Amino acid sequence: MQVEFQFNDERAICDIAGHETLLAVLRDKLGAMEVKYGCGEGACGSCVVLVDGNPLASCITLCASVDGTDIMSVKAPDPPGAWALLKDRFAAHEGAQCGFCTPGLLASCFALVQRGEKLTRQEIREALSGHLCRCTGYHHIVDAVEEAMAIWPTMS
Amino acid sequence: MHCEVFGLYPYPFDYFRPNTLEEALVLAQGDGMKFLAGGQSLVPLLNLHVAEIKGVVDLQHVASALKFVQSQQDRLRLGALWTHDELSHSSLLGGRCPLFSQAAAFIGHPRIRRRGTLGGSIAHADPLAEWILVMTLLDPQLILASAKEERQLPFHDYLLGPMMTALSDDELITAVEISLPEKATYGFTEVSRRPGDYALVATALSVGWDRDRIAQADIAISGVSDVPRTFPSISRDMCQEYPSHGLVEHIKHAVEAAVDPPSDVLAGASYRRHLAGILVEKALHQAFDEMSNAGETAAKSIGKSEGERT
Amino acid sequence: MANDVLTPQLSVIGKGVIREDVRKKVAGEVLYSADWVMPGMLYGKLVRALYSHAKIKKLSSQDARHVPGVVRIIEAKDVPVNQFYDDPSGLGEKVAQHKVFQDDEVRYAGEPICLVIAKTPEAAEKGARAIGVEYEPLPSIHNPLDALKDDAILVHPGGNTVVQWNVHKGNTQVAIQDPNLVHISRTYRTQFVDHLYLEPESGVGWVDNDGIVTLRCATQVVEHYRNIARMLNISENRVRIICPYVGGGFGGKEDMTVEPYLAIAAWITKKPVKMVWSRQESLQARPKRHPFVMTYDLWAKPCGDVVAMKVDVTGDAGAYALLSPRVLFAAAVVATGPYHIDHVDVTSRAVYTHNVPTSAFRGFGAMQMAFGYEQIMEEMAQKLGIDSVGFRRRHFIKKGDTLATGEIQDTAVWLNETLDKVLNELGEAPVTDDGSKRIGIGIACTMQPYGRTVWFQDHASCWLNLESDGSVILRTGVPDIGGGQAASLCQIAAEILHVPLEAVRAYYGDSALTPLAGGTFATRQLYMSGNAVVKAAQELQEKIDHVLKTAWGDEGWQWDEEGMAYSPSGLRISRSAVYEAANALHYPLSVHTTFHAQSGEGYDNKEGRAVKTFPDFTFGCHGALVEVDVQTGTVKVLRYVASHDVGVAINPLSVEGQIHGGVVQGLGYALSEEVLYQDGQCVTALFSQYMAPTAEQMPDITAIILESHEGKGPFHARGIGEPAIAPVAPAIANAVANALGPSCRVRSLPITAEKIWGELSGLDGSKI
Ligand SMILES: Cc1cc2nc3c(=O)[nH]c(=O)nc-3n(C[C@H](O)[C@H](O)[C@H](O)COP(=O)(O)OP(=O)(O)OC[C@H]3O[C@@H](n4cnc5c(N)ncnc54)[C@H](O)[C@@H]3O)c2cc1C
Repeated sequence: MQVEFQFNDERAICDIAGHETLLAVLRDKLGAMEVKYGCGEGACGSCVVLVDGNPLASCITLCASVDGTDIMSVKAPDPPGAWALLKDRFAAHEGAQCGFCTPGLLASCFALVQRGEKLTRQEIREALSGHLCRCTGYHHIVDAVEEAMAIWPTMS
Repeated sequence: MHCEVFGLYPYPFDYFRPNTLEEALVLAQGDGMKFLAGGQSLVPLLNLHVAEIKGVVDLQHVASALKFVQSQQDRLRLGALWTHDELSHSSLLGGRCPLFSQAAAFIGHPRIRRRGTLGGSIAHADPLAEWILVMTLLDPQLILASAKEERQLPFHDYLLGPMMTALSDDELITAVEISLPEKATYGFTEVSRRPGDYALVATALSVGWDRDRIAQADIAISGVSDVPRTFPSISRDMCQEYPSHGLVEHIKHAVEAAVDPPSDVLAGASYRRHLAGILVEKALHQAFDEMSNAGETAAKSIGKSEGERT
Repeated sequence: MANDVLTPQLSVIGKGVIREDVRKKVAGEVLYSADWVMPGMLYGKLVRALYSHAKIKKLSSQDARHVPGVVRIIEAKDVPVNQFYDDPSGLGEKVAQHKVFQDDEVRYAGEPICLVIAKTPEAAEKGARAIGVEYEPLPSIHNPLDALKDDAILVHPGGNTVVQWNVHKGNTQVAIQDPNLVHISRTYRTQFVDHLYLEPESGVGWVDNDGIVTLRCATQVVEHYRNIARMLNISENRVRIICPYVGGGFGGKEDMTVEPYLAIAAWITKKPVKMVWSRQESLQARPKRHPFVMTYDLWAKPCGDVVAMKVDVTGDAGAYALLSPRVLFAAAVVATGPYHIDHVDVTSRAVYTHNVPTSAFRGFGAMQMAFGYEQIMEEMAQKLGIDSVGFRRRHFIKKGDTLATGEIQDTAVWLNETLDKVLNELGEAPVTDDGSKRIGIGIACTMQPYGRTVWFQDHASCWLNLESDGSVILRTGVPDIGGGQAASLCQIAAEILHVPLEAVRAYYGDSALTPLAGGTFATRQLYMSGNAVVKAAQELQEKIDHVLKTAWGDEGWQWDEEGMAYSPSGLRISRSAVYEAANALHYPLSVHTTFHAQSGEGYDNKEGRAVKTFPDFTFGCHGALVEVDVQTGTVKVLRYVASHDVGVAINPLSVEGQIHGGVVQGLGYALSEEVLYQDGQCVTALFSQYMAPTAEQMPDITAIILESHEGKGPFHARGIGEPAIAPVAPAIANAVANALGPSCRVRSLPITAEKIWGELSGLDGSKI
């Protein structure tokens, strides 16, 4: 079957079978290696992308079901916007160490920041509870997100 | 034989996305077909190769038709495709049953709540799932539809065991119909190994009121038997009583005495029994507090409207 | 030694510079091991044993061969040398380790039996499922204490004890005769835990143009190419391991994971082969952290002077030795903790069982011990009725002291300093008016070695060049597992060569093209490769100075911020001009050098003494404030403070990151994480069943970095990768015990709500 969706601002037309997950198609057909396999259970958050602006675990999303949507990963073109802001703050605070969980995590952060959310540190922690990071202990991640949330209104 | 070959991706199957409910039901008659709602339970199983199927019937185009609330005096009909997140906004239910938002908050993390559905959870029938506990408590009529017929099944006849139900392969849960006491408050408490995980033990209860007296009560607990259970005779003890510390103690001890929990690697029987007691106590306090708060707000709003009139 | 370069004004060292690899990672631009794709690539899937102990009667691959897409089944008989050997204790005893494929006696559930190669991952999985293995199940043994009994089932013919280490100091036997001594004896237990790095074990293997077996895979040790060569029975110069950025290691990628399978598959099929272990396979069958049973006996005078300590440690090695001998050695060395005690007897042993093998994990044996010694000290103080902080201070080792092993501690010991900071920051425990809650405060002071034991003759090499445009290339075999290993080496080179950080580029982690630096484990990379880079950079700088002097005549050159050399007479020379001048002088600006760690004799296990065990230790103190719900037993960490003396913080931001990460991994270890097995079968094989901490229940962490300027690493830095995890579990245990009140203490990990409730209800929570 054929599916069509926007991926990072480009039209993607893929020939797929019903069982293929969005993760498999993004990686194996579209070469989007920034989307990671981490658990296959929708639990770790490494495979998260934005589907119509909402963070979804691509490993438990069938590709056929995202036909006609607009999908974004951390590599989405971003005329200095929320992605760039987040990347910059994550780098400045060392919100990544091994970096494996980072693209998925940033997708969820993007959704929060772009919605203009201003959350407390604990609320940020709760909002990110679907992402496991094993290196940073989360503290630097919360620093980065908190700062991005503070800066975003001045940019947008 | 060898160890389970856990996969990364599912084995091949077909995908269908019907535009109408009728189409969906016809498709579901095919051999090895499964409905796909939020996919938050089904697709992990397919990835791990724990389940193997011939095809999925994606409900996304019929979802909006199955997202409704129909409220009659003593009844509430809820479409099965509401997501956990949507149900957590109690305004949706017109304040009729805040238990839904209380329970939804305990399910997984934000991403799962935005995607997973009431019907999916009921169909999946994980005995520790929050909705299974809530359904055990409320014992609704499930509205089941297949291409051949539509039928209603009370929840207590539906749930046969852990992940076992009376649902036929081609049947869709379209709605749940709950009868609600005119005036009721609720409690929902849970202890899990980590926030957002399936419960070790959870309690849901409802208290129906006749002014400030308890008219009727129901208690359900998960994690103390293979599927959640209720406590009809203990609940009856509460009828016609006024909320009191003594009553809470009585119910707590009665529950502790009544449960016969299993011991497994996650928790022992004594701890589960203890939790059952504590969680019932806490849930009763929630329900009682809500009642007294409601009383206060009611009093306030009366005062206010009177004030406006003058 | 190479660390006499404590220059007063440092320009890059000590700055929280932004790591370039982090910039690439947040942009999603890093290709990890599973992200590599090659034309015609095949996929591999392992078939693993179902039983924890069984004879394999028959392996039938007929059905699997007929699964569409299956290309080849690889079994034991296809492997030139199907058995790995090594000398894990480093004392010259060769141990038979695991086989590549088990073809006879299965010793743990999950042991690899054969490998299915197919054109797609799904076909490989289907093929694996179609393999038939006929077993004769055998009785198995899962409790290491049972495995020590005389009539125990043998896991290997030579007996169930893998290794036993002894440490003796003074004369315990005589010292404890004094009838006035207060004696307590306690047993502490720890659990199986998983590394749970986010990147599963993965890689691609192929045979390159020159017939070299090449593996690009997630590993902490590129030197495994030697094991692969032995397995294939080919010369070591025909295997190459390339290690891209690793998505987390923590010791779990120190032993080989996918390497032998990628190699044998590529070797046999002559095609590129990819393998990614599923998360569940990883949780089920990859080595874990050793569960320990530690019995501590402590004798003290009523006035509060500790007289003697006896420690008995049993570590569950699982079915194969792997690195157990080293893990239990580290345990023995630090068994007494950072305390000066005159009479000490330590015995630590690793024991074979039919459990999943255990091996390296951040903290490496030393961190389990902290759960013992930091509780026994607390319990003794309580018994004596004295303040446990003062009791600790009184016994802290000091620079110049003789440790239990007989070696001299020859660098600064800033235990008091870190403890002061932590107590100060932690403040008093607040009171709560919620009757169902109790607040507790707890601390732990620990020591953790960095670097390998001295008889391993550890060394690390690197190669540093000045390029014609003035940029610098650093080549080093370091695997970068996420801690900024390559980035901090660039900082060191930039500092010494007076160049901007951006001017240095590191090529890393390739066993064929980058000088071997040893693995990224044992908190050794900053110490080893850091010193190697210091040495190389100093030599290169001398060469540059020589060229400047020879070509331009002036003496006393200095460097400005743009990296230009200027002389007292007013000359200003760029590095590219220096390069040209050097070329004309036939004087290459290139240095290849090797740093050799302090080395020493092997351990005298009979006497239980050494002149030196590890090069040095990192000391620190952590403190926690917890709230215990006495109704449910659940624990909330309200505040957490961690302080370490890191000698010098090369990049304070990264040091802080290491501390935060160690603390949270330690909090998981303390409170929730456990891989559960029932009769050797993993019952928590799902990611969602393994209770690693998420952001939600973790507190903010106050990291306080102290700098004594006395480490043995570059610029006098000390290692911090592992030390940050050790104090967490005992700090939490002490805080929980403090909250629960006298005579309540959970002595087994994880400290679950259920165990706490058990203690509160008068049951023995540790046994739950
Ligand atoms: C990491 C993680 C953590 C989770 N934690 C929790 C938790 O703490 N508590 C909890 O309760 N759940 C938890 N879940 C499960 C989650 O709530 C699921 O959303 C829910 O169990 C299933 O809903 P779904 O809509 O996603 O169903 P799907 O996955 O789409 O379907 C599940 C099953 O139900 C069938 N089905 C779906 N809809 C219908 C219908 N209307 N009629 C008939 N059959 C139907 C499907 O065919 C399938 O067999 C978790 C899931 C994940 C991935």
